[in-house]
Amino acid sequence: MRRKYRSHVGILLDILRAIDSEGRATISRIILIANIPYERLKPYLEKLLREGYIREVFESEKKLYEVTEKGYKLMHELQMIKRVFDRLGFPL
Amino acid sequence: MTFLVLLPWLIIILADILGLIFASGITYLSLRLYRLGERNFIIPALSWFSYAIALLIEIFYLSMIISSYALEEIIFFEPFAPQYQIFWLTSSLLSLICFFGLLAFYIWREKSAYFLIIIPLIKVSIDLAIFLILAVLIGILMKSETRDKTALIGFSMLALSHVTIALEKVFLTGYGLPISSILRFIGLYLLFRIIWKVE
Repeated sequence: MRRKYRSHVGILLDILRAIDSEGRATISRIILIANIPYERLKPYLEKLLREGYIREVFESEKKLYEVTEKGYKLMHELQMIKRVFDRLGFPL
Repeated sequence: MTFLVLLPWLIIILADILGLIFASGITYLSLRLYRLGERNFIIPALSWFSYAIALLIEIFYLSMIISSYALEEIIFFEPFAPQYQIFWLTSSLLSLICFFGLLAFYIWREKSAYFLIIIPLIKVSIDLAIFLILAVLIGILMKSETRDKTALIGFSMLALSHVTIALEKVFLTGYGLPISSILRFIGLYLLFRIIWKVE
């Protein structure tokens, strides 16, 4: 069966949703929920951190990620854009 | 009475305004995706932008014509007058660029669907082109002095057969092929009779 196409923006949205669903998520939870291998996830996380959409927090020496205010704005915007383009036949 | 003449054009202006808002919105969203790293979304952005411009030209042009007519600056309300053809041509070309760009983008994303889209599209376009050519031919035949009913009906049936098969390829109802075959048979039979009955 042909694999469903997931765009760059689609992956960003899945990562943000994965972190949001947990409140604060470890990297292994993000890998599991967003269904993306570590090597592929790493540059996306770096980009999201660099641009301030997510931040790192430490809880009992464990590194967790959480969505920032800017990240929530982006997530809602991307969800809206995704809904529009899905309906136009260009799934993200 | 004037209002009834202007009504279809007013509806077109309203539809174009809605289309303009939609096309501008989609252009903005496509550009937003482009800036977020979806480089290929520049194609739908430019496509919808050209459509927005096409609609804008139509709105301006029709509004000007309607206002001139309402102010009695022009006597006849003729939006398709030869001097205005450049507006329609520009608008149509921009619309063509838009939909061609969207189709190209779709095919690029769904690479495996290339042969499923392009070949049937060409086939449908050819059938529609044949229909239009036959329609022009029928028009010429109708004006000729020696117009023959058999030839006219024959060509008409043939034209309808082509348009039916084109519609069948788009909607896949299953009724198109039998209807088209009957129309083609009648059309070619009538044309054949012209040769058969000649003395």
